[in-house]
Amino acid sequence: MSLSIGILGAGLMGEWHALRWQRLPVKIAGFYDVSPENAAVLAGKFAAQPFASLEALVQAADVVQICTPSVFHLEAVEIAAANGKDIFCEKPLARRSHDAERIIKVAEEAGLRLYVGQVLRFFHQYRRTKQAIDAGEIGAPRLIRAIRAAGHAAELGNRRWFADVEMTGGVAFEVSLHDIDFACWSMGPVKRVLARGLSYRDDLPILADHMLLTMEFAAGGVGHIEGNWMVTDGTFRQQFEVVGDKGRIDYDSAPSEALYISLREEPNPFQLPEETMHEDDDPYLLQLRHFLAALQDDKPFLIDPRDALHAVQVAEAATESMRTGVAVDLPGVQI
Amino acid sequence: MKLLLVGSDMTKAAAYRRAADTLGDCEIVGQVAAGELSRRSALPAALTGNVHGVIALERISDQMIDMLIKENARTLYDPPIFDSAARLLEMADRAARNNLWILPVLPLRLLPVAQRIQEQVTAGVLGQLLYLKLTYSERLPAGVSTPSGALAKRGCGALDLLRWLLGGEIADLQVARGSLAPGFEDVAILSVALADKTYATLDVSWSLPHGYPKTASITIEIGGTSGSIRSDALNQNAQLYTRQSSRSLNWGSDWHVEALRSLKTLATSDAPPSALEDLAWAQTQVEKLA
Repeated sequence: MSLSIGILGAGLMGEWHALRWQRLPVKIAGFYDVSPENAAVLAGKFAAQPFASLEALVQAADVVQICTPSVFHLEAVEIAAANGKDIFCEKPLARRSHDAERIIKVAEEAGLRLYVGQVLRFFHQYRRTKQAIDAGEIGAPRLIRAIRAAGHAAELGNRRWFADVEMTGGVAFEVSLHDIDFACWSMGPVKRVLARGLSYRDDLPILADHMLLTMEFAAGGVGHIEGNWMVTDGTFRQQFEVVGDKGRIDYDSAPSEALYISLREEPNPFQLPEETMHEDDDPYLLQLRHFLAALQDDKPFLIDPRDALHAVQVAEAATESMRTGVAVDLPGVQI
Repeated sequence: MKLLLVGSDMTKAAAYRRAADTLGDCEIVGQVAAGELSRRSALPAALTGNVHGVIALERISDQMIDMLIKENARTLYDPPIFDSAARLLEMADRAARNNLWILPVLPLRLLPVAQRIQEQVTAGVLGQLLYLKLTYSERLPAGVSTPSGALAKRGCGALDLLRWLLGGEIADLQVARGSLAPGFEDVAILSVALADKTYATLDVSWSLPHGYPKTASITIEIGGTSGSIRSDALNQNAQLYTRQSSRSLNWGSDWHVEALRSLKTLATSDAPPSALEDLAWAQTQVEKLA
């Protein structure tokens, strides 16, 4: 009998995952959302049931997939755990590191599996780079740079809550957390961060968020990450460079142009890219396949919840650094 | 215009020779080591009175300044690593008192792409400026085993670009240092906050391995309330496609562009685009981090 998936949150990510669940041998039990209308729409689209309460959804499903804003993750995990259900939690694991710690503890004490959807590890450019690092192809990694750039998510549909930095954590959590996780996956834990950015600027005439983050790793090496939520021409870009003592690996989704100017005068609305990837390359589908296989075979997930916790700790330190203007040392990481 | 190269950096000398050939009305009449020049305390006899300008590829000693004053030689100052800020200000003072013209080569602001960016910034196209991000990566020169760190060698140029594009007073400046080659600081990421709330990272490094299809890479990104500019300032890479294969065409370095612009400045009577005081300001910031 196939697993049934209860999807909490009938927004963009809830639908994004439901589209992929359809291709797998599972059943979508239904949706719950604080907006019953949204839950009903997706339930109709995916021949599933809309639920009137979170508890009802959890009780009807074998696995709970949490696709709500991160400030609500802890409450959802507690309810799922109280009902003995394994959990797929979208990234970031939580808005605050103490919530992330609590989530891990709740899942462990209940003896449940907890997966965190840090999907970048399933993008083949990033996965192949990690394999190369582990194989020693570039020697010991010492420097990592990464860029993630798009229009502000609050400009996409009815998602103004993305502009609330207290709720979302801003660009550090919603954009750069991907690259923070990739950096830590490649180079180990971070011991110190210094971030400058716009997350706490309330005097700007535009909707924008941006961060330039420098990181020092506990094992040596440095990182430089840009999170950009102020692209005006509708394009999305991701880029990285990993440099070791024997070589380097580069990836850039944008073509190289000598000079590229984009202006806000006639901004194109931020749009999600069309699904152009072959099914076998779709990292979101690969992630769900991995989740199911690891769950059914009782094998470890590619993403340890403590890795997800550390990503939250780094993002939290980055936002604190942006707010205060000073570097932040990470707790528990020896300098 | 007849120019004398002083110093033994053959790579830079070649760039200046190539630039002089391109300009046509410039002639490199010779190259001498700085030590040799100091011992003679004057130009080689055959060149005395026959040189209009000097390209100093090494640090300028007091004796050399005497010579430059005596010859009234307009001077490009392009050493591998600059003097202390205090020494630079002494030189600036002495040059001013003797009407000696010394142009420190701060190459990043001379790049054509940087010039275009500065024009856009000055014209207000980007609106209120918010941030600047520079990455300046180079290939570690072959055979160099103990060069100075990235901060000392490249920090001044990066900070000068920051000041040139953004202006404003530095409110906070910090650096994260890294090491790709053991015992050698070849990565420095400067993080800057300005008093007007703009901010920047200036990421300078020797992080291009010898197999990389570029010898240098400079990216400049600047954002404002009205838009942003992203640039690949050297953009050296070209691909050759044939029926059999594709490969990169690498033509070495684009630094001749900077050399060309420097020589053009030397050959005119215009005010220099940068002064020793500019360099001294940048060096002061670097010294605070050292």
